[in-house]
Amino acid sequence: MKKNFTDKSRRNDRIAEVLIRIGGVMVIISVVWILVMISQVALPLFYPASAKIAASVKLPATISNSKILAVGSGENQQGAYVLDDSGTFHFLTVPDGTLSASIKAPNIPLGAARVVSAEYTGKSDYNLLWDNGAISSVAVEMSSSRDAGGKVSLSHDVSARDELVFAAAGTVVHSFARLMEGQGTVRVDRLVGDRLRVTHQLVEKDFLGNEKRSNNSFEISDPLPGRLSAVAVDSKGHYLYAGTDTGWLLRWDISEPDQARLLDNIQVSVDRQAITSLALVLGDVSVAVGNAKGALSTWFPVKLAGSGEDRRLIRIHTLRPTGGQATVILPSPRSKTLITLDDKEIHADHMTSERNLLTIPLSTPIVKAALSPKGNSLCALDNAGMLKVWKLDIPHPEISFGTLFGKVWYEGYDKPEYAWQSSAANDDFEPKMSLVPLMFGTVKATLFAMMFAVPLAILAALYTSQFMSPKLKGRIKPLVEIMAAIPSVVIGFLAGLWLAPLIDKSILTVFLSIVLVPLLLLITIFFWKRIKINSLLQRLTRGQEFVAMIPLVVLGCYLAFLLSGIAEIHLFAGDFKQWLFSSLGVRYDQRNSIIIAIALGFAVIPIIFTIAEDAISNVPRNLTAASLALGASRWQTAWRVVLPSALPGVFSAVMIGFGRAIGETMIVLMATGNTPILSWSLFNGLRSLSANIAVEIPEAPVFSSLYRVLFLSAVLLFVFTFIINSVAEVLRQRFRKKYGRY
Amino acid sequence: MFKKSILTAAVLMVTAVAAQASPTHVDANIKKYTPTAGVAGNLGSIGSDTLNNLMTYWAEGFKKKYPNVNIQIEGKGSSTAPPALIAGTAQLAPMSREMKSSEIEEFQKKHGYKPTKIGVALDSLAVFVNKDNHIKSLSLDKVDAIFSKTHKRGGADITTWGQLGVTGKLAEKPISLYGRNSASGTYGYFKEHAMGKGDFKNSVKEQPGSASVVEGVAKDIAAIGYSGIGYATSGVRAVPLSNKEGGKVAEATYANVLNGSYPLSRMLYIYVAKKPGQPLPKVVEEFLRYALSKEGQEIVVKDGYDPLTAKLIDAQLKELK
Repeated sequence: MKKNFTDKSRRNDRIAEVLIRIGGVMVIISVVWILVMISQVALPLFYPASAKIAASVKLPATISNSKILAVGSGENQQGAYVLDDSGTFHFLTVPDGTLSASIKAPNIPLGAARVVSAEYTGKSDYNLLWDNGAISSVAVEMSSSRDAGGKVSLSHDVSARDELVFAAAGTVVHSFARLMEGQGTVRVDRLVGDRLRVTHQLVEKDFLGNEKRSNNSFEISDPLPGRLSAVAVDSKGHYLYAGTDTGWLLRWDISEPDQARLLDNIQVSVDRQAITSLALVLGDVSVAVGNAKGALSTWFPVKLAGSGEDRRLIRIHTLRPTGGQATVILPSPRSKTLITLDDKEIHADHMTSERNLLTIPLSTPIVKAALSPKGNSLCALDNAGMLKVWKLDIPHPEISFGTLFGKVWYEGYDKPEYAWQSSAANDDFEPKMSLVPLMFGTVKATLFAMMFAVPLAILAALYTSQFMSPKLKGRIKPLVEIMAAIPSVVIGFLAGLWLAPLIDKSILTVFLSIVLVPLLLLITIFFWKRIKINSLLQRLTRGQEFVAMIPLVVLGCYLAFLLSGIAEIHLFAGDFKQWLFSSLGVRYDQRNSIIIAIALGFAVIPIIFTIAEDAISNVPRNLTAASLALGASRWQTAWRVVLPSALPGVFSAVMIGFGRAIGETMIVLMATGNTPILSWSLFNGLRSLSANIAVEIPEAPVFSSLYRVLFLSAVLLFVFTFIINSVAEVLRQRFRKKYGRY
Repeated sequence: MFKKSILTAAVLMVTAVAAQASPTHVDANIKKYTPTAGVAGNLGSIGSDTLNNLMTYWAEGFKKKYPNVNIQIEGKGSSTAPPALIAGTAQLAPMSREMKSSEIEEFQKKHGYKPTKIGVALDSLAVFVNKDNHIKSLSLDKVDAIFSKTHKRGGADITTWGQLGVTGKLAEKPISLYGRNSASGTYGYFKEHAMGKGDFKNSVKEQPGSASVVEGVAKDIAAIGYSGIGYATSGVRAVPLSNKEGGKVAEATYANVLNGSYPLSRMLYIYVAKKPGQPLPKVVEEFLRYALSKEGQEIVVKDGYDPLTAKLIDAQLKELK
């Protein structure tokens, strides 16, 4: 019978052991699995770009005998076209290379016979410059549709864009034509003999809807330092850029109809290499400059000290040199990627991340090249009459280790910065995704919260377990545990909308009471024995002394309130926050780190308190009894004997609290302003990794760079907590060896 | 004390609602809604948080006409609308901005045609200050100087109220900035139109809802914030705006929105997936007709936005055919 029983219990033990082991292993597996899942989403950020040649076709002799002015391709590499100097677009299907249609430009200006040059202005629009100096503009449309049987049919069309037309204007080498928003049109002509002419066609409308047109033409009179070697105009027709064969870069403001203001005149490189290509990067702010030696750099105007209102061009990014002469720079229509061509290679670089994304070696030099309207297809014609189409796959060009964790000089910024600003309503916006301010925010929130919570929670736990009467303890402990059950949204909401304005009004009172309340308590303790004898306080039983504290705390706060008024008037010129700002330069923000410390601390305190209290209460009675029997006071026992023996438990309590504080989302989200600031100041807010994920994930298009970066930040958060917990565990084991041997 | 503050809050709310009752009237030429037979089924809406209230009111009114219709509305920001419409999780995609070309392309890739854009109301974005702030007017150039770190509109950085010509105690105070989170169309619209596509300062406190922006401004004397004018309360004041410094200043009134003199007004849209040449599902079409009817536009006014004119409504109804 007895043997039976022990057998049974042994068997049960074994079953339990196996079950627990399985459970443990499952936990580890699922944690690892979660990490793998998150990482899988984040990892493609770092995949390399690729380019596949989709087609390589020989142009029909009828076409290749004429002068080819432009090439282009559709999005899915199924169609391509070339434009010859008669103004005809020849559409080819690829990869088989059959000519499917030839369409003549619809709006040939009067008296024009041949096209001199064609300017690609994005979205498959071309400005055609004719031999008599007239300009017409056309839009090429290529679309593919799938019928019910899954067969793809291509359709193409060339339509006139009537809003951009210029009359004959004599012999012109090359020209640019732009629509100026709501004002009319402008053309910039490069004339024989390195001259530049600007013509504005202004349209003014009065209230009755009558249009008044005026033409205004002038030549740029500023002397050029060298011969003109490259020209570019931004898409709104505001700025004109010119490069010379001696390496000078010039920029004019041509937005006014009667004058061109020379804004910049700078030497681009030390070795005075000729500027061979200029292009405006998406967004029209940066200009990319390529020179005869293949050096590629981007420049944008920055406000400099001493330059007044005007901004001056500055070299911002230097990209990997190409080696050969940079003949063409093609800016991507979707990102700040630049495709550079020289005689031997095609390069793709991202401006901001300064990443070299791709290098495609060439066997024959390219004559004409263009990107498709979405930038995922590159079409090029070489000097042997071969038309090649590449499918480009550049998944996340803007992401690099440097942009995620380093300072980046973004377009329009005055200096390199760690910035988080991920979205906007326009396509040419460049997302700024530095994780540094977010990691900083997480660390800052956690540290401040712990500074507030740890002393309070541990001392409370020590008092509750060692000094409080058991009856009271039985009530206080569950009460504190209920605190843990308050949803963090509620805490965040109260902190943001109730506590923040309250502390805003009484910030000095808060600071003073931090000093005054403990001071008052110390003074009372000093006189405690004398007060106790002669008063009602004697009736307080052991373990209830803290009741006497309540009026003291209230009194301390009240005193702080009174004093703060006086102090504010006499020490801080009537307004503490104002004083902070004007004397120390510290901005006081209503949603600041004090609010976070209190709110987050409030959420963490119950956890630390409960676990620490359990650990302290579990110190064997015989230890305390021995200590007390040897004549140590209660305080000495609690501080020197109980706390050290409970240290491993208390430490894990703190660490669990730490883990909770790091991951806490709603409180931080609602109580701070989510401001990605890098500053340790108590008086401004922060943006944490977790809150950032919550704020941004709903809007992040699935598998976009932002989406993946958010997952990457989740991985980081995971790693953060993992490291902290591991360190905590190691330390706890050490403490246990050192203190837990009783 | 607490009870008293609840009471005052309630009183404030009532006065706020009363103050909001603008003199805007719905165009008399807009037709009343005529219910048809056979409208039933489920209707999902995911998108703009600016339009969330409006959608809820419309859904309520619509359900009164057709009790068999089940409508679910989710409003987390305009950027959530296109993915939902593409995936088909919602038939209605309310947006407070136009779709970006990349979003339209995504849609086209999946469905083979472009989404249809129906304008349903006019919204004026307001720049709010605390009610005790007596600043007379602002230009968007100044607004850019306050909110932006890139200053695309030109101007130098502005950090204190004194730099804006405010006198008294407020003059020395640093300006405290409130704004929407980046998922909202309001954020994108403000960035594009008030800040010339520039970037926000790091110190702009991003709030998850329009109401909390207004609430934040109401509680912070040195604050300035932007959100839809429909969210105005008695604690804040919408500053009259001009486009350029020294230009014509306009208050956020209906007349100014219609004549275009108020610089921050926009159309609010509902995007739907309508196959070319085919009618929309009946529930969806009737819902849009209801929103564009006299009743629907009265709800727009009630919610603090501006209604469309009869001419605009006709143009929208044509899109439905």
